[in-house]
Amino acid sequence: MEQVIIYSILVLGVLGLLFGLGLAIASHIFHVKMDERVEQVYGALPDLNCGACGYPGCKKYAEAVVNDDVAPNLCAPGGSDSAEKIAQIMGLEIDASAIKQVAHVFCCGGKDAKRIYDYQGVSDCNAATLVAGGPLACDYGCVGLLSCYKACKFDAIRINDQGMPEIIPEKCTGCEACVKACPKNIIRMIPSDATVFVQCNSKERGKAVMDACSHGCIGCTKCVKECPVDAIYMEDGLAVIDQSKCVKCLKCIKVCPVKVIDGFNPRKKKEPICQQ
Amino acid sequence: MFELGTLFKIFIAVVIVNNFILFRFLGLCPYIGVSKDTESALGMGMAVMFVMTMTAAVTWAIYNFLLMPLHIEYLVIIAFILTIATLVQLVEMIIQKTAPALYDSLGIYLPLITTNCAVLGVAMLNKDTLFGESLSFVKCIVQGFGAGVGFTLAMLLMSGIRERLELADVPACLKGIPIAFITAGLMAIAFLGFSGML
Repeated sequence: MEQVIIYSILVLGVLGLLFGLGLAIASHIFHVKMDERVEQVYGALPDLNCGACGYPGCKKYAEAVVNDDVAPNLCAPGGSDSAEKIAQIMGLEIDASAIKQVAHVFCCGGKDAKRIYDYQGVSDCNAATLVAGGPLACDYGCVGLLSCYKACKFDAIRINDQGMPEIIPEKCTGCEACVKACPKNIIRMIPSDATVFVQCNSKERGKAVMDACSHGCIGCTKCVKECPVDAIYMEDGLAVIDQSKCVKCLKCIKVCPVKVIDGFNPRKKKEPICQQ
Repeated sequence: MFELGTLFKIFIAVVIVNNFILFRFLGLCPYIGVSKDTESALGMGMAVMFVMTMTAAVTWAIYNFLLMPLHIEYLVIIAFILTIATLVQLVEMIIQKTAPALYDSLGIYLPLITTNCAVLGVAMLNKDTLFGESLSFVKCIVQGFGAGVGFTLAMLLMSGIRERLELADVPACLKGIPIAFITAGLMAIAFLGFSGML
């Protein structure tokens, strides 16, 4: 009996000691030198792992910055703060004055857009688009099945009373997850200080646009003529605002006959409607 | 030739018929937790396969050369856990040093399986069924490797199903983990069909 007790204590004690020593020695032998700047750069990043920089996560981006001389300003959520800190750690000079880019939904069709059939399949924009280009009469409009809403990791998209996704610029980190999720390419990046938008994406001619949707740009060019600084131009039958020229006089909003030009944006003051 | 047949039988038994997840219900936490997409399921499966094979070899030695001669077999569980935990740590260090690419794909899963019950299950099963037979060392390794293959198989099947479930119209109250458990149960029933095979 005593023998069993003594053996047990001895065996476990010795095993534990050996394993502990073994691991200690092994960690010495197999020690991998980590560049301490990786940790510092990682600390300067927001740790959201959104993938906007093109790397699988903040850790990988930090490693890439230190080891492969990747540019320090690729982190969209971190913005200029992160870029400056990283540049400081790496001893680089960068111009951090660039304006943050945020996503914006260029469609205001919502419930007023005509539907050619009733879609009842998988609740996903990509799936709906596969069925004859989606349920909308307009080939360019928002299907409204909220793939972008599901793709957003930062709660920066809300659903307005028209059932349309709407991006909250203050919360948008610019990771472009929604841009990639949208099968219709309705969501695009804009400078965060932009305030006037042509809220339509349709490149159809005026008649076809009016047949499909009551909120579509018919290409009447009234805004182009009205704009005092020539910031609006026509592209494939669609008015486009050059945000770098726009002086936010809002004259185009008043002149638009179909009300697709929107300033930033009286609707946004209303309470958001929760999808659930 | 005879032994080769036995080895094959052990392998098939542990991969399909007595699958560790679907028949013995061991290792359910990674089965539910890491099976959301195929890539990570495969990574986890590979890591488990690797560790299970190593464990089978090392625990065989510990039991046969230490515990049995000293008649302290009742310490198997604690000794095996100690061994497995150390082994995984050591393997992690070695991989990190020698094969950074492999570490990148397996690294995050290795610490997760230090105390995985499926890994301990392999060691205990080996001890109960195979020790003392002829060629028991080889059989143990085959059983350990087979258990890992079976684990990976179940993980891959589950992750494939769950990727499709993401898009399926599941009732709100069953979304996520609940439907995964129902699926797991159905898969286990399906795997019961193999039970008459050997």
